[in-house]
Amino acid sequence: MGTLKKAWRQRMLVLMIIPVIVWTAIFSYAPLAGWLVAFKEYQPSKGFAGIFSAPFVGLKFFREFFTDKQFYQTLRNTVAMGGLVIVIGTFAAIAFALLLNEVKCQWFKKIVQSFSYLPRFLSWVVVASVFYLVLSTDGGIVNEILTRLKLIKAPVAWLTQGKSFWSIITIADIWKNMGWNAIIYIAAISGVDTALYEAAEVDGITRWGKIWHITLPGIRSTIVILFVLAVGNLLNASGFDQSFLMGNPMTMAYSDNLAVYVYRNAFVMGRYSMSASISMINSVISLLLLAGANKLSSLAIDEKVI
Amino acid sequence: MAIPAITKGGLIIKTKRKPSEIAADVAIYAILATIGLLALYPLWNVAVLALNDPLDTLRGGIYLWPRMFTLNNLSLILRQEQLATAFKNSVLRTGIGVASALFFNTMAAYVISRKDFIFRKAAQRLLAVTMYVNGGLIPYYLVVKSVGLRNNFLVYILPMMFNAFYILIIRSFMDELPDSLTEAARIDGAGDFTVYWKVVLPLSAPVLATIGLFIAVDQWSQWFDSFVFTTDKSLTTLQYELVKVLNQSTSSVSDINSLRQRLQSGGQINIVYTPQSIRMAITIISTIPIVLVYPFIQKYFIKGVMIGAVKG
Repeated sequence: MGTLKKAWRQRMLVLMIIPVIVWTAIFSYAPLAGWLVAFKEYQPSKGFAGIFSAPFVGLKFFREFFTDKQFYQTLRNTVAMGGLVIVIGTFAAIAFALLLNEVKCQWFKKIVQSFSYLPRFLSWVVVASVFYLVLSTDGGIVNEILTRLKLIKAPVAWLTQGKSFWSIITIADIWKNMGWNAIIYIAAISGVDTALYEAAEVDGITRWGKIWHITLPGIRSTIVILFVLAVGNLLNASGFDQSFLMGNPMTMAYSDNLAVYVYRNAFVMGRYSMSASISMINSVISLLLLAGANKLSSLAIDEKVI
Repeated sequence: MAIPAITKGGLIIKTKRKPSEIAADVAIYAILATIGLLALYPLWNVAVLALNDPLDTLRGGIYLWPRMFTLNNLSLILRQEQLATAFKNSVLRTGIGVASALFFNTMAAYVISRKDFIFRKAAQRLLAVTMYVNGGLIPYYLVVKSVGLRNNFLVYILPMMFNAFYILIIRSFMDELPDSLTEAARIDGAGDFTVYWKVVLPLSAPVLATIGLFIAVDQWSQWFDSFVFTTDKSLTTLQYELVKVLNQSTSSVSDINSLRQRLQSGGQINIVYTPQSIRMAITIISTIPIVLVYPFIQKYFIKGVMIGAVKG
């Protein structure tokens, strides 16, 4: 047996890979087996093994949430917030990278960049706390500035207004992530052939013309790759933390997303099987989105991302 | 007046720039300066309020600088028992979490960076799957519960022990190391663990720094595991305490109330607080560690995102 012999010779390597295999089996694959719970009438008191002994009910829970009005509301909110975060976030990061690239003064560039990605390292809890403060009706800076500029008559309780929620989440996400996301674009821009710019200068092409005809085409494949990955992540882009921490009963019609819906079904209502069936659909849709976006990208840049 | 900046021969001559060019430059610098300030200001605002007298804050108008400077808000938080426990747990989980995850992730990465390893492909596939699908909240919860991690400090460590994406980044770094170094050690009779521990790990210092910092931020920012998997108050974390304060859960506030009564009846200082001053103080305390190390670690983060981008 060649394989066994070789495995024995590499026994140290085999020993060293065992922890990750065991860990993956427990924390990644066992939960996948746990998807079974979505098809069963499961009693939370029965523990993990109870998944297997519980009575099989087929697609009962899938039918249940597909006929639940709240499901469609949360799906809409999830797609809307995810879409806004991805599209506007991508635009913002690229624009920021392009602007930075126009700056010749190195120290200025460095300082702005350092500031810009500090928020990336704050937890969403801290971000939520910061937004509670700046949006507060009680002397929050946003209301203060807007009333002074006479744009609003009296302070607005932004976080209790359903209609503002999507914008707030988008702004919060951009505040947190734009600087960080721009790093890759900045690196891609610095990789564009400088000879092209020199040639363009000889031809008298304007600054904007250079960005439009040289820089952007030069970083096209980076943009496409990151966009594909982002689309695969559409359902998770507006995460649990954001909606759970910044949403409240008054904004629920707009703030409730799939992650919170899954959580609520599980731990507030105790409907484990229902919750698992929603997670499962979420995972499946995400995979389909990723595969679809990957296919599209192969048309756009002639190479598959994954 | 437009003066050609470049002669036909390609020789670049410095000349006066067009007014429109200068205007564009001014606009660009102004926009970028605004972005930089907007990124920083909200945190500054929190810090200023955390350092201002709570009653004075109620009068409003504090945006740039504390009007009545005080450290009482912060010291009140640190003297509160549950928050002190939370701080200790956050530090512990970050420290232990980083050390253990670094060890195990790099070890796995080392094995799959060995091109002759017999189960290399299989191990890689096994890991790749975990990056694209996960069981979701309930199946995961049931697993974690059934392996006895509820109300167990290890729930902060074990589930974050491995990360397929980090393993991938570390592996791609190790792939770049010259084979000659490990070969030399092997000829000297070193086993694989020795090669990993004595040769590869020290050479991987830059990627260790990067990934270690990623893990530290992951650990420090986590609150959901405390929320779902612990009911034991002694296992709480700083981020989770902040969540409770944000959700207007009164537990922390009433604890502080009782502390205040104890101190006052003992004839000590008269402590004043408002829900806002408490929130700001906890926010700042849970942010300070990151802001303090930030200037030193930035360059590693950038390196990390670049390796991740190339390979990811």
